[in-house]
Amino acid sequence: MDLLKTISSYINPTGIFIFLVLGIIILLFFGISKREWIKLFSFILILILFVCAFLINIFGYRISGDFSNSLFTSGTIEIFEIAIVLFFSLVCLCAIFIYNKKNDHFVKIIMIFLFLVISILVLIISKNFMSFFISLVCFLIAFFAISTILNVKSMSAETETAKERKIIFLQAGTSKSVARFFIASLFFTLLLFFGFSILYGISDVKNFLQLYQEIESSGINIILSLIIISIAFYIYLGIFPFQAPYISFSSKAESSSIYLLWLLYFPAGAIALLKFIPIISILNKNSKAGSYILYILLMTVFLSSIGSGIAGLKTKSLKKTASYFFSLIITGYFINMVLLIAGFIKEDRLDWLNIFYLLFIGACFLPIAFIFSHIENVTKKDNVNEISSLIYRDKITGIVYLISLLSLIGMPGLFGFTVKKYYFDVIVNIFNNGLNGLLDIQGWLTLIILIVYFAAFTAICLRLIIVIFIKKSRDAEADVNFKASKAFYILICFFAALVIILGIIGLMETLNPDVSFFGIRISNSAIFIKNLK
Amino acid sequence: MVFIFYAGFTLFIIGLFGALFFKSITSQIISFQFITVSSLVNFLSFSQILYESPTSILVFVLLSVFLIIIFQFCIILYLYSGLNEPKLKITELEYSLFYFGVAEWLGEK
Repeated sequence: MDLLKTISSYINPTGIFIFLVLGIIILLFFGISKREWIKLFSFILILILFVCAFLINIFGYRISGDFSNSLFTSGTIEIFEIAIVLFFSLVCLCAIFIYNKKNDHFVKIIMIFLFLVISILVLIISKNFMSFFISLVCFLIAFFAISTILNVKSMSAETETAKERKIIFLQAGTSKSVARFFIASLFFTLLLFFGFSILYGISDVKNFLQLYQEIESSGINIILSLIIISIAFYIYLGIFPFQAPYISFSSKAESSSIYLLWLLYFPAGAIALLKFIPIISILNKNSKAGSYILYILLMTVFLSSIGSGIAGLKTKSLKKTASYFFSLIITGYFINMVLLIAGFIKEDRLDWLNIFYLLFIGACFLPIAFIFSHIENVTKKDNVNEISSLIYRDKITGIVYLISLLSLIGMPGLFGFTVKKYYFDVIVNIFNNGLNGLLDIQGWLTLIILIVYFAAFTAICLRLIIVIFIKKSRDAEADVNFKASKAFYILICFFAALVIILGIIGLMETLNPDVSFFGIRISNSAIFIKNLK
Repeated sequence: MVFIFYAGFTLFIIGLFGALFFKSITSQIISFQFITVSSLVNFLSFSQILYESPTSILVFVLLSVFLIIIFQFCIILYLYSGLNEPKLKITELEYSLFYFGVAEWLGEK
């Protein structure tokens, strides 16, 4: 009994890692196999292990509660982040299976993928600089390994189609794009390392919590290290004008590595960036430092909105449109920071807003990415015009696509509104203050840049909506059949249902009707978190 | 102390300019070494002078540098092994690392 109690006290967060490491150990025995049934077995095994890890993550937290030591910490926020990342990993696993089941190195790819997921999970729970930095570099190395394997076409069987693909691949200059992207990642790593070295010199801190306590004594000197660390993250997240390596990689790389980029690489960067929020909160107490940080963040949002917005509207490439659009979505994290610095939200609200934002990416952007990949696969062309008249040619896909985009715009009744209502509230509040003459220059600037961001975001969404209603000539329509497999329809419909259900819950929380089931008021989603604890 | 900091920062600036403006990958990797060395100078000098050389920071520096070198090695191996085409052996990028032309930005290329 005592043994069981001891084991259960360690179940959060070790349980998840046990499942994932078990997957790697089992796959070690099949690493060099090229048999089809072994590939299928590996896929199903890892799928089951991911589901088990997802469940143990939630139940482990219920059994053993919060965990913290000198290196790691795992509380409610980390549990939610891990759950979302595991869900993203599941999607990536399916994408890898769909696009690479013919690859001779499939089992090895899955093993590296598991290492990648373990690294990002360690990053989420890391508290100490050592665990944080090492997990981040391990994540980048694993991501490099998996991207290069996925993009090496010479490794697959030498059929005619493979040869044809190889020529296209070489013409596209994928190797150079991959190399350029990872040299930029290496540059990020070194800038972060240098930033840490200055941080260490200014104040002898080794973890983020200590940073929170000791930063006040070190005062304004901390700014230099912060500037270098923020430039590092600016490069990592590929924000305008540093987006060249990211756009080049995402427009030339193979489909499953783009899913890895969107669903694991960017969330990892956002999560890593958010670990520095305590520094920003403390610096915000100094009004001069606070206003500098606010101006830098506003400049970031403005550049990203203009750079990605204009390019997203102008480009004809489907992959580039999706990449610029995703870049705009990621800018949302900077908006959350702006709201914190400007004093519109508190730190605990920011944590939940960030988690909501991760869910928002998963539920609303994923179906669009799936549909784009499907259309590109069917038409073999990377052109926005290929999705024209989609709504008439394949009604189910068209409607799901429309729901996802309307949700991204923030239409009431859909999940996007649940997230975006916080931003809309803030905009209305600032505007009211402006009308009453209570707004200073900083407030006006915040209002203008928020409007620019949402205008750019909505413009890209509207462009993508309008395209599917433009009718193609009958000859062009007859050339390509958009019909997909049943699994594809089930998947996109699942996401559409998720967007609608979460949207209705969000709407109920806003309208606050007095409806309850089994004594629980359904319009109060906080009750779920209370029960979880 | 101030001299060490300035020396480290000078190395960092040299590395930064090299990484941003060179097209040759070899030159970029050498510039990265400058940044690594400047970080090492900072870490080791601060730990010696300010904090009496604690073991934890030495472990951090050793592990981090080891991983950074592995990452660099992986990239160099990928570029020179010619996995995609034996004769490819990329040694130079078309433009510098963050070059972004207007035509490329607007998706016309």
